Amino acid sequence: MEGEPTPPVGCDEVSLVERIVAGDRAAEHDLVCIYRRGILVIATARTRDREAARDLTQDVLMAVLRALREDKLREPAKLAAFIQGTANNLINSYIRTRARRPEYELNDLEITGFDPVEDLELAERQRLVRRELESFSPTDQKILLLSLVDGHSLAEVAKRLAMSHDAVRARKSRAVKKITKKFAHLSQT
Amino acid sequence: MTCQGIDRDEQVERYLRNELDSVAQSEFETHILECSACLQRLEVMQAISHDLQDRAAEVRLTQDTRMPWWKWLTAATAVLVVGAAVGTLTSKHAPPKQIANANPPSTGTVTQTKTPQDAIAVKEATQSNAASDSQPGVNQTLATLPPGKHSVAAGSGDQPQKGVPVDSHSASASGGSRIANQATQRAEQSPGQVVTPDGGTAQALPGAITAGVGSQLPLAPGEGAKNGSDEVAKELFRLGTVKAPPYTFSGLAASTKVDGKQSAKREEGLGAAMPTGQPENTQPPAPGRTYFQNAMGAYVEKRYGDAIPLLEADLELEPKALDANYYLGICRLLLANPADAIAPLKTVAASNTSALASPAHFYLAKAYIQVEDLDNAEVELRAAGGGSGRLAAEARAILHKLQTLKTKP
Repeated sequence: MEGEPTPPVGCDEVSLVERIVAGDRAAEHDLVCIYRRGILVIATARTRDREAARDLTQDVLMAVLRALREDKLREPAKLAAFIQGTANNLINSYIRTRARRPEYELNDLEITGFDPVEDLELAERQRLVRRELESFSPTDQKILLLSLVDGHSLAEVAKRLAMSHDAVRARKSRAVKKITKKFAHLSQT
Repeated sequence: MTCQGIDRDEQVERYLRNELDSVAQSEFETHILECSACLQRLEVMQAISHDLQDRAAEVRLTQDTRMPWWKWLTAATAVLVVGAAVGTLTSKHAPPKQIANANPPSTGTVTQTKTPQDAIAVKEATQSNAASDSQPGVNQTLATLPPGKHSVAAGSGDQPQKGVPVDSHSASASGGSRIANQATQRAEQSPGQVVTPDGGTAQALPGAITAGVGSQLPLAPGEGAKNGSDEVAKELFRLGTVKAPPYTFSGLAASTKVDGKQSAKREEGLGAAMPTGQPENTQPPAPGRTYFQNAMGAYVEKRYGDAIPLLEADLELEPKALDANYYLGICRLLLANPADAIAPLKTVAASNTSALASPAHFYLAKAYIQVEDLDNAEVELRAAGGGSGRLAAEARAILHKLQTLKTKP
């Protein structure tokens, strides 16, 4: 399982960029390890399409590496902002141009960047979340559903469930923290 | 941007709902790339949303049968209060000898003693806090009280007390717990419920022919069991079920009106081929169409939870788009969220010129049935059943069944 990506000891953004500019392939690998997960999460949130998000993550990383190799980043300290900007442009472009393909074309799609370990990790996380959520009371599940899926504010959720605002906030916070704790444990194993 | 600020402003949730403006979104995403804690929080939220979207209908239908802590506290308090009351009654019902064993005699009782010696003995026993059963004089004295004294004590205990059923077994431990249970049950009942003579509950709402009236949830089979209206509830549940209306992408093409030439082509070809219930866009071309296309992509793949935010994004740009309103209402209905489906469907139903108006009346009626607003459901079914076609026929059939159900006792 891929653990928490951390830059090598003594390696900050500036030195990472300098190493990439100098042609250090290990530095490129480090950059991918550090930022891939974040880009994937952002792309998934924006496109709501896991497969497209994977492709976009690959595209973003390729574009960033290409730019870094060509020494196009003027302020290496702002590497994260540069990656975010690149990701933002590519994702927006994807959303603008994404056209619905006929159903019969779906089988012809070539899935690139397929990583079985990543899939297993994702499945394990979803299984864990399902198990944790099912252990919550129906009220707690409804609070999360109304808040995260339906997009209601906590005040609206409180009104719908005839509860106090503070109670809703506390229960939601407790539920999220509990699952986050499990997630952290999963990342460490 | 700080982690505390993100937590305080619920930025993760707002980001997932696409509610951040472009500047805040860029700042948030940059922070996510630099902060592993916030990244993990976002991942958790994503995973929770994903799972809950899959199980939305199930979660909405599940009733919470667990008692919150405050109800446990209420129940425990009720047990203590009733226990104390039962204890008092027990002491009043018990024979005098037992009372003497348990409690020191009162001053009034002491005055009934026959001899001054006995009275002195009782006084000494009381003052020394010694066990009264060690005072033979006291027991003897109380045992010889006239019958009138017993009858007074028994009389006060036999007075029926409101809210607490007391019978000849009330002094027993099992009787006490039974009373406590009844008190607990009362505490759990919602204000709209009344207790039936057989111990069950019934809705105390006018014209209530169903269970769960007042809830935001659609009826589930069995929910009406407590009310003795199982069949009615099940039938209403069945009448309220919704099947996703089909969507074809020829309809999508037809909905994107670009210029007069394309519009004419649509009327000649695509428009004629567009099936009943397919979108009819009366709005000029707008950027929201991209959202709509993506939403309908999710819709045909039955990812209704994914379609909803896209349709909402479309409606922010073109709030009067009937097709987006229509499918937003449908998606919410399919995710068992009928209360929120009503508003967009109403918008479509109000546009009498649209081909979507009639199906919108139909699904609006379904939403009303699910929220148990049967009067409005009837109105919408009449409107939907006025025309011709499959949905109109189904609307008339449902209306007939609904009226039959309402006439049932």
